[in-house]
Amino acid sequence: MNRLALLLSLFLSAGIFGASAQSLLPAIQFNYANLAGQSISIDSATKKITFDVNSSGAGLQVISPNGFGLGGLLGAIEGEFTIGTVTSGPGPIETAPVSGSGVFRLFDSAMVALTADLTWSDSLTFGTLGVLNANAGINMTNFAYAGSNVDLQNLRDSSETGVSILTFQFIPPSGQPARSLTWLTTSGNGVNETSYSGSVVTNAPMVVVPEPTTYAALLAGVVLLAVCVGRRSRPVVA
Amino acid sequence: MKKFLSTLSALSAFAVGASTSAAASFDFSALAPIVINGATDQISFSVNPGGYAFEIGNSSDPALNNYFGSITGTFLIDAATITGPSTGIQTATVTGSGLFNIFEPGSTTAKLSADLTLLNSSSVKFSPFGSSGVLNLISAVNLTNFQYTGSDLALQTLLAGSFDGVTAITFQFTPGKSLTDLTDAGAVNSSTSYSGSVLTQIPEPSTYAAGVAALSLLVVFLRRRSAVTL
Repeated sequence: MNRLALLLSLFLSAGIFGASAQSLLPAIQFNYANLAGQSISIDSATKKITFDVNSSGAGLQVISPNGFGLGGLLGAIEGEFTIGTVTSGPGPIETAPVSGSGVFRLFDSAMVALTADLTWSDSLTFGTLGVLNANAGINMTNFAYAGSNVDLQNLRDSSETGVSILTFQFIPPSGQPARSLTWLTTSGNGVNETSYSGSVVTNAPMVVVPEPTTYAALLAGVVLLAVCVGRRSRPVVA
Repeated sequence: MKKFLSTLSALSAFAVGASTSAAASFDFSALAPIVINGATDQISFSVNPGGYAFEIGNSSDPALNNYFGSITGTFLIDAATITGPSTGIQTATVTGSGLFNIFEPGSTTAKLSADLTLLNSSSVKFSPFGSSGVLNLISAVNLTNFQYTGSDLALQTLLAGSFDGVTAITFQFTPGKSLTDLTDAGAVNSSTSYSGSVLTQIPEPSTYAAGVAALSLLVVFLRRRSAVTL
């Protein structure tokens, strides 16, 4: 009986540990660009990054075609983000941490927004290029949406976390230095605005999915349990 | 005589080496994706159903805001020139040429156009999770031969202030794609959003003055020579 109990517990344990975390939903990917005139701004005096929105509260648009039905939706980036200490190198690249937090929004036709908490962990400049979240860390969390747009509901349900990378560009006038992070955050260089674009990929929630071997182990465990119970209930012959 | 020729050549050199001043600037935002074809290494700029690729904003001439444009032509990433990715950077030469177009309001044919090259591309801070890219990393002059024959005032103003110009375009991918990934023969088309900026420039007045002075000296010189010959 003791040997049987041991076997039973081994099979059941195998069943538990044989489970793996998998996503049942596909990752969603979309690209966006600012609405014309709704710029990213970098204030050289305060080192703050902000994003314009129009009178309707929109500052960006998801670019079509988009396989997840999001193409054409308007959105916005809200919040204040601050560029930290600039590090030079390697080569002409400059990088800096970015602090602060905000909200990424995508609006349905009734202007009900899907929201996600947003941070930009780092910034980078290289020649004419500027990047936020160049290291592509997870920077979108807490996706929420209470509206009726099916595609936004799908995005909410498929998005536990997300990664957004944003790029922009500055062209210095002839003979002037490149708009590096150092230049952009040197007081006296004004507020610099430009257009931007970004990409988002989401990570769907993980669920525990048993492996096929797990089902086999559980079945064997149940069989052994039945045998055990059957033996115990059998009358003892005197 | 020798001194005269030295002066003339100095003035000519000044005129040729024209210093320029910024004349007009604006940004543009994608309305449809930039597409990189892995099989052909070709970069193209899609248009939306209205026939436009981008919309202008943040213009130094507010009248130009919300004008639509397109980028046409054949641009190829020369995969053989891809360098890196040391320190996370890849660069490659972009060959080919095309047109940068800005349309009159309501039109998809009447336009201001400039010859466009894209010079080089870079993939920076590439990782499997994300990458960023730029066309015309070094802000070299890549817009020339501005042309417009229409009557739209904003486009006429832009033409008048555009001897040549610089445009840079940035884009990004997540999950990340390096230049090697993007130009892999087996790669599917890679599309993403982009944004860009334009800065046009015209020669400084002093450059024109130097050119006029050089021409005047040349005329005087030629007249003197012909007088001596007679």
